[in-house]
Amino acid sequence: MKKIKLPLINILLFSLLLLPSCINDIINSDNISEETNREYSLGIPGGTIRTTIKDALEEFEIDSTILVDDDGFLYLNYKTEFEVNWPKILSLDDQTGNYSYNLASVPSTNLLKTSTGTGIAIKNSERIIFNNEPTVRIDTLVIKDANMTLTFKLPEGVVDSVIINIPQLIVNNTPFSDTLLSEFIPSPYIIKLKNALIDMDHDVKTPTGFLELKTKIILEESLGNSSFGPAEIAYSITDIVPEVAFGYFGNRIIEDEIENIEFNTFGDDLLGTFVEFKEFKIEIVSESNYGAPFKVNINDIVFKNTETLEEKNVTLDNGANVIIINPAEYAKPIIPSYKHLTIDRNNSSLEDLLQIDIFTPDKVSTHVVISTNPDGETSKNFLTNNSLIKSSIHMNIPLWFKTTKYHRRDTLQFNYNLDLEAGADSVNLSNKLKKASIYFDFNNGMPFDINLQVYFTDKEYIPIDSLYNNPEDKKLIKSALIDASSGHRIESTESHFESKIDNANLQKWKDGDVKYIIIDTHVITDDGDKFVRIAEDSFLNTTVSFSAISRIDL
Amino acid sequence: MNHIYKTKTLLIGVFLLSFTGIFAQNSSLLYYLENLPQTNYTNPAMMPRTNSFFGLPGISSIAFNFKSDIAPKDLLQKSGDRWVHPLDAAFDYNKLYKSIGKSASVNTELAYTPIYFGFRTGNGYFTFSLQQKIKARFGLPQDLFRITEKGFDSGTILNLVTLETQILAYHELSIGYAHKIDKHLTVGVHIKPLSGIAAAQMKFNEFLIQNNRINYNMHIDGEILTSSPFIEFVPSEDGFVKEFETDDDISTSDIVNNVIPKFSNFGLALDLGAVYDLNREFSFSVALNNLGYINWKTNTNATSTKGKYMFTGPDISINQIDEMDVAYEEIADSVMSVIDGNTSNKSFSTTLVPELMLGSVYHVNHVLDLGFLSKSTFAKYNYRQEFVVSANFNLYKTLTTNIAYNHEIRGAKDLGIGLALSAGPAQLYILINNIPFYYDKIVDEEKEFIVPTKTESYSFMMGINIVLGKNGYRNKPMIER
Repeated sequence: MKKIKLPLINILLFSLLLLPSCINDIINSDNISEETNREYSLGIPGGTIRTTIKDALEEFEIDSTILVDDDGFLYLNYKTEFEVNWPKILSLDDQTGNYSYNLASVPSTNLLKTSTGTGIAIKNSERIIFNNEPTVRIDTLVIKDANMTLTFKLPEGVVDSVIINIPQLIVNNTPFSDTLLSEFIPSPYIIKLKNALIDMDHDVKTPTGFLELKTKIILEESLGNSSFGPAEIAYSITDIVPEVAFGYFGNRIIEDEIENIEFNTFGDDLLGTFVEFKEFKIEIVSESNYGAPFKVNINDIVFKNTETLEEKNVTLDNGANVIIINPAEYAKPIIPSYKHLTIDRNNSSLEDLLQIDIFTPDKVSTHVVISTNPDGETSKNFLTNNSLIKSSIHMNIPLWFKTTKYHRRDTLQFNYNLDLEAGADSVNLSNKLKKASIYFDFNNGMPFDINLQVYFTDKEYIPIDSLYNNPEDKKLIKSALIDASSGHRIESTESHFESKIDNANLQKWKDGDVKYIIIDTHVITDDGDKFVRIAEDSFLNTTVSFSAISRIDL
Repeated sequence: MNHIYKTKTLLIGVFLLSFTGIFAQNSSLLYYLENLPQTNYTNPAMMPRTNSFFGLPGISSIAFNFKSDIAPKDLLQKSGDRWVHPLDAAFDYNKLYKSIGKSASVNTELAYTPIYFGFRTGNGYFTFSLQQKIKARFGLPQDLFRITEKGFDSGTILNLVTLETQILAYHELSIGYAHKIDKHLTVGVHIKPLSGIAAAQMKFNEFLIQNNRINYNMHIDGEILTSSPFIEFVPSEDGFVKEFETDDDISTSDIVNNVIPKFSNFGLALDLGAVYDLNREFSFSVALNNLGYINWKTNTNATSTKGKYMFTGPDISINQIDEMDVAYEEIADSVMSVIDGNTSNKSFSTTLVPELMLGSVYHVNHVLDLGFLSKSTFAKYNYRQEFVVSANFNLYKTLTTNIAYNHEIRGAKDLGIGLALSAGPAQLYILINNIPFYYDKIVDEEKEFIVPTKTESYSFMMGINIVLGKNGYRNKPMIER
């Protein structure tokens, strides 16, 4: 067989040695790029801000309660109350008194049989009157708690005993009576009037009602007609906590200045000075668990602007300012009576206030006069410890308005040079960012258009730039589609904006030392011609996203 | 200056790291190294030419392969007189994508064969081997590189399903038989029971992230699976893994117990092959290797994640603007609520990566054979095609050599050399594949490096056989006498 004698091994090994010398490129580290200048495109979700009308109003920090009416529309409710309670209708004063006996002139006819035998009795009767007003009559008084105190100052060794009778004071269903032996007379002697009933006596002398404190002092029989110093008795009824009183409590006049209701509905915080409201109501709701009729007169509803000191008096039509409230019904519990008065454009001059661009009040006050039993005694009155005449005044402003002029400006701090290009490690954003866009996707469930512009200002609030090129070129967020008859939303509308920012903008912000972003919002209701109502489910959803083309330098 | 120096050092470091151990499998070089019994590894129909052989116990063969889809030159491109990296605007990503395909894959394999022997019987040839193999595969989706190319713009859909990791350690018993049907056709098979030692795998059936600018949509369906006595997943209440517990107190006996094949994690693989000798000059062959799987049943841990999530940024009411941190916490909670987590000890299976070899040989004479080989690798998401032309020299009694040129589609072009030296019955062999043609010199201040900058693969194999009856076939002697 033929042998091949080629020195292949040597050729192979030699070629292997040559391989590393086959250098294709020389890569000098000085020629390796240090650039990180590739441009990257990014799309970034920013998130969604959901704004319901209630959220927005809470954000405005208005001083009202936001309520929903039966149709689902919102209204602002400012409320204040005034009360008339027992002390203002019927006063039950603490009672005190004292009297004395001249024992030296005791006639022998007063000889009585005493517990120890036959003795001399000295009698006295004192009237205790709880209310001294001549037009007030108390028939029955149930006392929840009170203390009646008797203090005796008697000559020593003379008095056998003291007998006390109060026939109008019913304790445990029995007229009060007690006999105190001289050696056991406490000082003071206290009668606890817990849950006691006082069934007043009346006569010509005291038609308002009284109870009688009858005392008899029995002297020792053996003393005969001896002459002694006087005996003194002092009494008091204090700490009276009444439970219920019946009678006639008179024609009492109570006047009250209703405290100022402060509200910022028309101020800058909410709707500014450029909104015309469709409606404005004052509702007065009165509740009485007082067993007498009364009449409420509302006078002088005054709206004020505390800055300009301008005032406007709302006049009520004849009769509209009077509320007659019937007596409550006595039962357990008491059945109160109610009265509801609405003051609106139909029975007052409130309409004048709806032209808010003329006058922007921030306070309202009124004067109220309440008279009880206005027609005299037509029924028996009652008054319990919990009786109140309570009236609440609600100023209700339905969010039902039209506007073409409303502006709202919110200022955010935005120090461009500090926040984005700060310090020695400056990212020099303006050199890196080729372009960027902020996308706004609005879903508007509100019944009005919103125009939007964003300004970038210097520290003096002078605009350096605006988000949309022409400062007047605002973007319109279209109103939801609204049913004209019901005022309810048919469907929301979507609006999409793209706001472009390039490195020229950033350079402008940098050079202009931008310090603030001002968001200018302009609300227009259906071209300003028609009133719109804000429903409970009104909303504005704003979805923000970003795109950018930029370099990312290491 | 310091900053610049650091940047350069970093770039050069990355460049050199990408070169580290760039390997491919030995099979393409081994295929036509006829006098070496280990050719039977690559095609079970290839009968060793010796009557019998055995690998020297303990050192029969050891092989190490590494293959990456990314060569250093893929990450440092010439642009004019500059060298640009992936963050430079001049970097051409299309060239990188052409190189990596759908997924940038990195594969390593270490195979140690303590036992290997074979013998002829009539028209047949039996082989038996025991190998221990450790394989690791990592896949980085092409779409991840698109982020560094373009960013993540609206309209982008990132398909990250090719993100994967698989590490397998197993024993491979191989019982092979080749049978000569007639003078033209020889067929062969390897039946390979597999015994899993340990496995870790992360894979996704679905992993999409879509950027619509106003939201990111993520669809995810993936799992992490392990089989190892030294790792345990501790589940949380919501089904996700709260922590991974590892056993730091591993004794020698633990390791030995896991080195001995116990077939508790049983697997089975097949190699099928055929050789057709058309005439004395031309021979054709085909082999389909590594059709198999391993069922992992012991010490298994599995955690899966499945769900769809849409990230839209914080969704807040206007009153919550000052509480953005809370909003982001809610986002994290909502992610966990819509994506199901499940942690269990379920068994799982892993498959091997099949290879298809199509070869032809022209026998010039007893000394020289010229071969052509097409090798296709069917890794999931990473199909690879390689062509090899080789010259096999059988010189004297003592030396057999094979020189091969490898041309990988979308990959490296390089050289492999195999040498087998015989002294008596002893046969020492060494194969070095993927010897690069292409070198660059890197100059960094005073230092110079010679770097094969287009090389993606490298493999090495060596061992010692004892060959008996090396005259081989009567009609086809092992070497020329």
